Amino acid sequence: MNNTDLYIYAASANAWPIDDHIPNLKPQIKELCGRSFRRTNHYIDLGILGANRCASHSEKELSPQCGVFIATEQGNVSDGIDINKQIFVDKEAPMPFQFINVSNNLAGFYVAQSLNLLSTNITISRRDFPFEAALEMASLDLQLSNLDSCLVGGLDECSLPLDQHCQRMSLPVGTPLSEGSSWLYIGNTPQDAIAKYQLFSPLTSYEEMINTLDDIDIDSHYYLSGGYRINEEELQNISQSLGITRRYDYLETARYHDTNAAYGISAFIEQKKGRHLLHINKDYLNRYIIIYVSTI
Amino acid sequence: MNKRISIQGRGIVSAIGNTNKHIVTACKSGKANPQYISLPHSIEKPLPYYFAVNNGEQRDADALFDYIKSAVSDAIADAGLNAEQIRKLGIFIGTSSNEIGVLEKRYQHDLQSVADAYPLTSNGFGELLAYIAEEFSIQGPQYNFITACSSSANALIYAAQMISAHKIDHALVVGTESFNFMSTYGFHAMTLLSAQQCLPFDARRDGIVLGEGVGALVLGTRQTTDKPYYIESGANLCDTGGVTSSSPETIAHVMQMALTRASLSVDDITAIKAHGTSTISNDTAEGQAMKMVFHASVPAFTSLKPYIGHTMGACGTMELICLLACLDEGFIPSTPGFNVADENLQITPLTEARPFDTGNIMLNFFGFGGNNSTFIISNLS
Repeated sequence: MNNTDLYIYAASANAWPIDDHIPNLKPQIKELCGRSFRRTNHYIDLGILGANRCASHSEKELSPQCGVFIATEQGNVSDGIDINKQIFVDKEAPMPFQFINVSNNLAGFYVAQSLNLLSTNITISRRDFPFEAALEMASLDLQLSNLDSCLVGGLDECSLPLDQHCQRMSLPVGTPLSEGSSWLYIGNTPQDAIAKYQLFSPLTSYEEMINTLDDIDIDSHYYLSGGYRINEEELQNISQSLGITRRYDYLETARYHDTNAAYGISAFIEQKKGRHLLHINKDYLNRYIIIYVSTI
Repeated sequence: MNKRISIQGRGIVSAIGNTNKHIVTACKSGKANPQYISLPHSIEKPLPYYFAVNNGEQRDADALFDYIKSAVSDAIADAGLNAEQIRKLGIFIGTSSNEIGVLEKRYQHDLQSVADAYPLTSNGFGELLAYIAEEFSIQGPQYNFITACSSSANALIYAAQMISAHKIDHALVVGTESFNFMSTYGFHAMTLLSAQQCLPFDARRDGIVLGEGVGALVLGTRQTTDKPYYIESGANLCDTGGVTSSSPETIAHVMQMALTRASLSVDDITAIKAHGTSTISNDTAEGQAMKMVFHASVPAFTSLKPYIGHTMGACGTMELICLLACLDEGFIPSTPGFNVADENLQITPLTEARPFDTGNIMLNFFGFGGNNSTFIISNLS
C-alpha cells in the first residue's frame, strides 16, 4: 500500500436507534459544551454533540485552525419536510430561522462555533460514499498542508414516521433505522495519535479492490468490515481472498443511516487497541473504497 | 498547488443565454433585465424580480436536468475530451438546492390526490451526481459540495486540488441552481429580496435578486488554447460570528489566504470579481474587507449578479464562465445600475467596462453559515 499515512487523534462513534421518537439532545449538549444553542434544529444538534464528544476524547488540543468536514446523504430532513408542508399545505412562508437552518452547511457552522474554530468548513455528499468523500477531501487538505488537522463527521437524521423515512431512502419498510453523528479528529503529524489511516479511492471493480490489498502482510491482528451494500457472501469471498479471519460487524449495532461507515470506523478505534481494520464499502455502481485503520 | 490547473472547457445555461456571444452581448450592454416572477400562493404577496432561464417561459422544474445536460455537454465538447478521458472524469457539483424544485413539483402533484402525501426533501444528495454520471458515462469519483452560495466555488477549489495532487487527470465542475419555492419564500421571509433591482455596492441597494442556471467547467493540466486561464489558488474560511453575514476581518482573511497560497501580493491582482449580492450587510463587509487587504489601492472590481441574478450555489461556476467570456473579448464588465456611492464604503465598482489583456483576477463567493471562499485565476504565462 503506497498511500501516505495520516493520523487519528480521537474518535467518537454515535448512533441513536430510532423506533418511535426522536431524542432531544439539547440537555446533553448543554452538559458537554457548557452552553445552549437555542436556534439550532435537531440535525444541527446531532452535529454539535458528536463533534464535541470527539474533541473531548482527544489528548491533542484542538487547534483553532482545525477544519470541519461533514458528510451527509440526506441533510436536514425534518425541517425540510416542515417547510414543504408550510408552503404547499398551510400556504405560509417559512420562519426565517427555520429556513436558514435547512442550509445544510449550518451544522458545520455551529460545530465550528461550539469549538471556537476559524477554519475551512465543508459539507459534502456522495451517493453510498458520503463519509468516504468527506474523509477524502479532508485528507487532501492535510496532504497539501492547507490544514494541519480536521474534524470529519458523518451526520444523518431520521424523521417520523419511519415507514416514510424508509421510502425516502429507498429502503424496505421496516428496516431498522438510526441517527448518526460519528467523528474522527485527524491530522498530518503522528504526535498524540491513537491510530493511523489510509484511504484508497476509487477502485472501479472487485478485482482492482482485491489487487490493491494484495501486498499487505495480513496477520491475526487484522479485522475486516463491510459497508451496507456488501452482502455476507461477498464479505466471505473477500475474507478468503485476503486471508482475514476476524470480522468487525457494526451494522447491526449501528442500524441504518447513510453515513454509518463513520460509526463503524470510529467504534473500531474506540474498541480495538493495537489492531488493524480494512473497511470496504461499495456503491451503486459496484465501485469500492477502502479505508485502512491501524490503532495504536 | 504544485501543478498549474487550466480551464479547458466551459458550458452555461443562464438567464442571459447559453453561449459566450449571448453573455458578452449582455455584459457589454451594461444593462440588467430581470423578470418579475409570480408565485402561485399569495403568501404575503411576494412578486419578486427573478433571473429565469428562457425568460421563465414554459417553466417546468424537470427542465433542471436539461439545463445540466446542455451545460455539461458544451463543457466537455469545448474541452475536446475523448471517451476515455470522459470516463475517468471526476465530478464536482456545487449546489444549495439540489433538485428541490423537482421534488416540490412531485409533492404538489401528490397532494392533489393524497391529502397526507409526504414531501421529499432530497433523493439523497448524490442524485444529480448520479444523473450526470449516467448521462455521460462517467465513472470517476463524485462529490457534491453543499455550502450554500459558496458551493460551486468550493467544488472548483477542491477539483483543482484533486488534479494538483495527481488523484485525477480532469475534473468536471458543475454549479447548478433552479427555481424553487423554498428558497424564494425563505429569502422573502428573511426580507432579503430586493423590491427593485440588484444594485451591488450602491447606496440604494436593498437586497438580492435571485436567479437560476447551470455553469459547467472542465479542468485539467493540458494547455488547450493559446490563451489559457489557470486556477492559481483557492481558500475557504468559516466565520462563526453570524449565520447570514460574515465579518470584514474574516472575508479579508480568506482573500489573503488565497493570495498566500498563490504566492501573490496585493499588487499582483488586476481586478476583483466581488460577491456583490446587493444586500446592505454583504456589500458593506466585502467592501471593508477589500480595503483591509488592498488598503488605498483596491483594484478594479465588479459584480456580475446584476446580469444573471444571485444563482446561489451555482454562482461560483456561472459567474466565472461569464467573466471568462468577457475577458476573452478583452474587457472586464461593469456593474450595471451603480449610480449612488455608499458614503460608508467609499469605494466604487466599475461603472464602465474596462479593457483587459493579461493579469490575475480574484473571485469572491460567500454563503450562509459564514462560508467564505476566494479563488484566483490568471492568464499570465
